[in-house]
Amino acid sequence: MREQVDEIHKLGAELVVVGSGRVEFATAFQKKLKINTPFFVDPSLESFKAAGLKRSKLGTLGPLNFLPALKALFKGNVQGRVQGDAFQQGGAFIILPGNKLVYSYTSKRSSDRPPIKKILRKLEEEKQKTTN
Amino acid sequence: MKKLSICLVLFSLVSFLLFTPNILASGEGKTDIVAISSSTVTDMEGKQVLLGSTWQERPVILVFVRHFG
Repeated sequence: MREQVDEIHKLGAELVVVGSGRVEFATAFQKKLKINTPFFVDPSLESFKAAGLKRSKLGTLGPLNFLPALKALFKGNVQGRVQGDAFQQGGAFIILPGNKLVYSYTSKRSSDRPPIKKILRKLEEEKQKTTN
Repeated sequence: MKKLSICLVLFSLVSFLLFTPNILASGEGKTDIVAISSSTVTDMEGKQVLLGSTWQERPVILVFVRHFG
C-alpha cells in the first residue's frame, strides 16, 4: 500500500500502520519503505483483538501460502526475519471521524492481503459523499 | 469406485486447505470500533497514544500489519 500513500493523502485521508513488533523494528521498517505515514506498535495485540483479527499458526504456515510466497519471491520481494508476532494475521479498515467504520477487511491467512484498489474506491466514495 | 475414492480424497484435501486455517484461528472476527478507538498503541518516539486520536480530524485507512520485515 506504500505506493498509494500520495493518493490517500490527496483524498484528504491518512494511512495509519499498526504492527505487533517493537518500536525499533517499526522504525527500521518505516525507513526501509521510505514511507511518510504514522506508524505504531502494539505488542500486547490489544488493538488487533479489538479489530477482530485472527491469530492462527496454520494461517501463517498453512499450504495455501506457499504459492503466493513463491510468486512474491520471483517478483524480488524477499521477506526478512519476522519481527513481531508471526502468527497474528492482519487487516485493513476505513474509519471516519466520529468512530464511523465504513470498511473492514480481516485477513484469513498470511497471503490474504487487503484489496488496495477496493479500499481506495471506497475512500473516494466516502469523500464524494462528504463533498456533496 | 476408485474414481469416487480419488474424488473424496481430493474433496477432503481442498476442504482442509480452504477451511482449516479459519477453524483453528483464535479471535472472534468481530470488529469493535469503540474498543479499537480506545486501544493504546506506542508511536515511534515511544509515547503511548490512543489509536482513536488518529481519525479525529480526517478519514484514516488503518492497516494492521502481520509483522515488520
